Amino acid sequence: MRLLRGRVGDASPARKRAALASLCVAAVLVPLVVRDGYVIHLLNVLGIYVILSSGLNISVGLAGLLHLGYAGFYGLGAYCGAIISTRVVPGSWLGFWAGLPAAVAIGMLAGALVGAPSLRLRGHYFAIATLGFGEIVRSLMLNLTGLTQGPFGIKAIPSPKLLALDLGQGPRFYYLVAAFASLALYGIWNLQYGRFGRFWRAVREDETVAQVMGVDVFAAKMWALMISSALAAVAGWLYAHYVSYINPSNFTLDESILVLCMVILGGRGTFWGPIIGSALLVLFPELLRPIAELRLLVYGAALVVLMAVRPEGVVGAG
Amino acid sequence: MLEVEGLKASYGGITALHGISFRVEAGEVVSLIGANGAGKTTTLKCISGVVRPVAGAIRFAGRDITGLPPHEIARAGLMHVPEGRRVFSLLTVRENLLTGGFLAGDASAAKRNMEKVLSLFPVLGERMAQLGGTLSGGEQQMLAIARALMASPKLLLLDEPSMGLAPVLVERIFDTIHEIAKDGIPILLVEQNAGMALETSNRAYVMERGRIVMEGPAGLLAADRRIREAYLGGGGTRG
Ligand SMILES: Nc1ncnc2c1ncn2[C@@H]1O[C@H](COP(=O)(O)OP(=O)(O)OP(=O)(O)O)[C@@H](O)[C@H]1O
Ligand SMILES: [Mg+2]
Repeated sequence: MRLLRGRVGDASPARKRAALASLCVAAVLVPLVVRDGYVIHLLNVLGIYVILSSGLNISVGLAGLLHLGYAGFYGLGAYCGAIISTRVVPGSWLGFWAGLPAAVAIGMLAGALVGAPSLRLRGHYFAIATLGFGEIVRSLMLNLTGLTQGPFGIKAIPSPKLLALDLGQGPRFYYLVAAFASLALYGIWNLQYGRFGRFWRAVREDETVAQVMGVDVFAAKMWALMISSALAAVAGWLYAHYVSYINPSNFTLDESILVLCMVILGGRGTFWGPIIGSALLVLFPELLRPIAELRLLVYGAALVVLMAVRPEGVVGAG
Repeated sequence: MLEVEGLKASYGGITALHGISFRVEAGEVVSLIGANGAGKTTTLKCISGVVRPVAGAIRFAGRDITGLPPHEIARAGLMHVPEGRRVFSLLTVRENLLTGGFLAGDASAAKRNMEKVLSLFPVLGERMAQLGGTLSGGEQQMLAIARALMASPKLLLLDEPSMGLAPVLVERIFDTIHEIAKDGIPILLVEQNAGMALETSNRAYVMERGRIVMEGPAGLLAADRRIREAYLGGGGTRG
């Protein structure tokens, strides 16, 4: 059965740790070797998507929740960060950092708001609730013009700083994103292979049995959603300060679907799946640049073939 | 230990249990036998909180647990092993066991329980890193029981543990039930295999269409002509 074939989760802890360590070393060395600014930019984008997709994987892959509004949480974090650095604490390096706890808090709060009514019900309520949430956030961005400038978006978001050090320059932002991505992955690793991860997967596999084994299914799902949401908001906060200009079209349903595709293509429920899925969807289209117009066609066909050959994703199901 | 009084349950207007009463005392194995659709599974689901009863009271270890959510009932020490060997198929055998282990109390209790269930089911020890879904049917049933035992249960509800297993495995499962009972864990056993169930139990209740129609010591019921005819193959449909 393909579904049950070897997965990364089965590898020995020592091998898992070795893989993780070599990834970290490689990540630190990259900017020393790669001098091309565009490649560094792609890696920055990749880092943000790794946080997003690994975060979404907690809900989708581990807890088995079909989440269709992830861009809503991503956008909340981005707007929250942008508003704080441009209006609440403008002109200070603290503005950037003040956005972090605010984004985490607003992400978790929004997660709780969406989850409270929808996670108690079985069936498709959760998917519909998250889909609706994504749309609500987008319409708030468009309509709360006093706060968000509506469709014009927020411009001139200052780049991240630490005291006088500009973290938006060259490889510095790369290291900043890499640090946050590593931190997120470290936390996810511990959750995933610990008791929480076991509970989430048990809930995903068989909710009723999980319940009679003493798992509070509602609480387990709620935590999964809140942690996913907080990570999305952190990614949004980084993104806003990286690109310095955000508008509602950055956070549409397309974006939610893109991140969902990363999780599914890579292998939902696995640790490496979302990372590999992000790399595929961020870097692969770039490799196709030389063939210009044919690019989307080849890209689409490649995705279809991949899903046909490995429906459980590159890494497999976990 | 467990007292059920006037338990009524229905599925969307169709009554499945018409107010049944029974009890399980400390140290007992009690079986619930009856034909398909009699309401045995529904009874266990009401006790473990998976189905909400319409009326009646369920008391466990001196505490009213009627209407509590399933995870709280489980945390009170009442472990339900549902019918159909529902192991977590994408979790390894070890992970399956650990989902029960967290109710054991502390890490050392969980470790002790792990040793105990592995000596009860040595085959699981050889398959710790294997995914639950790749086990054979018999092994899955053992895993389902072992997983519940990991939680140091005060009472075990077993729903058709022998269903669909080869005769030699059926024997094996009933031997295990014996051993668990010898360890002092009371068991409420639901079985289609009435003969084996009665052999293994102290007392039994016979259910028919949502009602308890007979009860008594297992030996007496096994000797009863009507039971023999209906459930033990003496002119009945099943044995
Ligand atoms: N989820 C459900 N929805 C509607 N009716 C149900 C449901 N579950 C059980 N029933 C009905 O309730 C009655 C009792 O079912 P139950 O599963 O408790 O019987 P059982 O004694 O366990 O039977 P079996 O020996 O076949 O497992 C049956 O008539 C059944 O059709
Ligand atoms: Mg049944």
